[in-house]
Amino acid sequence: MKPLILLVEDHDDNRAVIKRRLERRGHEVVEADDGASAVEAYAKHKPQLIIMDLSMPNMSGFDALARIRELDEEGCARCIAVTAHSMQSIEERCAQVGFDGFLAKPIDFGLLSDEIDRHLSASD
Amino acid sequence: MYRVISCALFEHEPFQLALAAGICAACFTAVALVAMHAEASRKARRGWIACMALIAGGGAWATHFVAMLAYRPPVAVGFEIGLTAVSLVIGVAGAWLAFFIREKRRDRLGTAASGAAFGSGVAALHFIGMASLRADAYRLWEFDLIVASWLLCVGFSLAAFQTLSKNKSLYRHLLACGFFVAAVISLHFTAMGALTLVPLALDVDLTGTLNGTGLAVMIGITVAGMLCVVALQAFAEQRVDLARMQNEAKSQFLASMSHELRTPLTSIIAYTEELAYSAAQDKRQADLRDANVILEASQHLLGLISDLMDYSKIQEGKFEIEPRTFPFAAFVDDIVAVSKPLAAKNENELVVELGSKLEMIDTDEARLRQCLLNLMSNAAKFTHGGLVRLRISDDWRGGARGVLFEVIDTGIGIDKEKQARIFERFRQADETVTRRYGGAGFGLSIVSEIAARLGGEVSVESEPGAGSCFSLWVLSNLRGLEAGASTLQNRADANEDERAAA
Repeated sequence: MKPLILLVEDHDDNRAVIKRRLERRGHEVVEADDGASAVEAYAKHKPQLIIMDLSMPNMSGFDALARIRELDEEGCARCIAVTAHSMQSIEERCAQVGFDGFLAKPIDFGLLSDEIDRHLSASD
Repeated sequence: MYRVISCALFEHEPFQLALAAGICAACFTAVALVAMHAEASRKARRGWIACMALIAGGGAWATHFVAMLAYRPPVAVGFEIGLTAVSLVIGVAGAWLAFFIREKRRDRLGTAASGAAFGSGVAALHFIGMASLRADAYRLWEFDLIVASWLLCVGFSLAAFQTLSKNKSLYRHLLACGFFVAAVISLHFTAMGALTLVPLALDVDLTGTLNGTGLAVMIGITVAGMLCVVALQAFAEQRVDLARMQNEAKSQFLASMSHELRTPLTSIIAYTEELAYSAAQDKRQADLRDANVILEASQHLLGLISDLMDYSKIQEGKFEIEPRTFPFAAFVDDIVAVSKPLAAKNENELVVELGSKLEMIDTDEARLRQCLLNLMSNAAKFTHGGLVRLRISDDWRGGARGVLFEVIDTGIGIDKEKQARIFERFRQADETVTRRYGGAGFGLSIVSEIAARLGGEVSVESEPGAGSCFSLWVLSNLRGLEAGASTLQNRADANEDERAAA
């Protein structure tokens, strides 16, 4: 059984296709469509890995990460940022606030798979 | 005290004296208003400091000489033009120093230094101005009053700068203006009271000196000049403002445009990959081919969006180079691996000739890679069933060690007159080329910009119908050379070290 992944993305079509591909790789996927529901879903399911969009309504990926880090007392959740912003400064900011990985959209699924494997093997 | 008052009352023409006081009050009100504006806008600071210095120094100067026009000594007088001009320069310089210090240091010491600089500048202006006075008379100076005039002037200047250093209200600024006026006027009459002209038949020659009318013209021109400079400064600030706002708006627009374009492109690419996946599963070859065409076009569009962002960064001077040291051979292997499918697309053969012995290179890896892939994909795009060669060799240029990458194709080539223009921004060799081969035409201008930033250059040689050769030369030790760029010896040393390390 592959570990649980929380997929946070406000764009329905993009979320659906990423979910489909993750499930094809054998992962169990929980979805959230904004930062606030991501925090709720995290509290409920405690997934080991989170794939999170940055610009979302209600609560941004940055704020959601901060809230999740408060809930994650053992500090074992890994979080990969995904964004369509292309500025270099965004990647640096992600590293600063504690994202464990960064991917630019459009997502190269090969790279995403590598990232997932890297983080899941690290947290084992 | 009696001497000063009697001098002011009996030796000056009252109407012109009032004019001098009016000029003084007007100029320092202007200084106060400019100071307030500069405080609030915090833009174009140096320009505004220069303006304040010009109005304050020039205003004190104009006040002094209009008051000299009002002066009615018992003998004929004239003013030497050279020293008159020097006194203006001294007055402005003192005021500039005062406002400059105020900009740098707002503490007590800074305020004191500003007051002393301004007061001393105005005093120097006055006494140099008096030295420009030519009269057929003997001058008697009262030393006590000279010292008193300087002390008064510096004292009121200190009060003015002290007032400006507290809160920034209009009231404070106008109060400071009052202190400035007091500084100039108290100095003037005390210093004038210190002087007594004793008429003597010395036959002093007044030819070549300015008379009252000449002096009035000079004052008029100076004041008009001051107004022009302030107007120009206001105009310049407006333009700086506008240009910056336009630039910020443009880059904000491009950044959000890029985000908006990437979002649907993410869906297009992901779902097309799904289609390709299921087509491959079901062995529907035609569908798989179609899906791959969409994927290629999407990747092309993505490349254009990146180029557009780079192009806008270059235009705004925000394009950053991040050098680091990395193994050269692995880098070349990677370029070759990525170039192979590019060349294969139009049935071209890819040949690589690695003649460089470089082991480590120090440059911006991502940017160099971007340049080479751009040149390689151009070569592959404009050549059909031919040869695309990548030749890499060590090459010294201008005493610096570098690497030369030559991308040689047997494609359609470029006309002589168009070769010079292809690196210019937003220009492809021919519009018909754009239509036939695609591309917005800024790829090569980005390559050219990156090459320059990597301490190198890019050039082209081509014959229409026979093919093209693009030569990209970059420094092999970008940071080493930057650090020691001052002398050729340092360059040689840096390269020597590099060889030793290799």
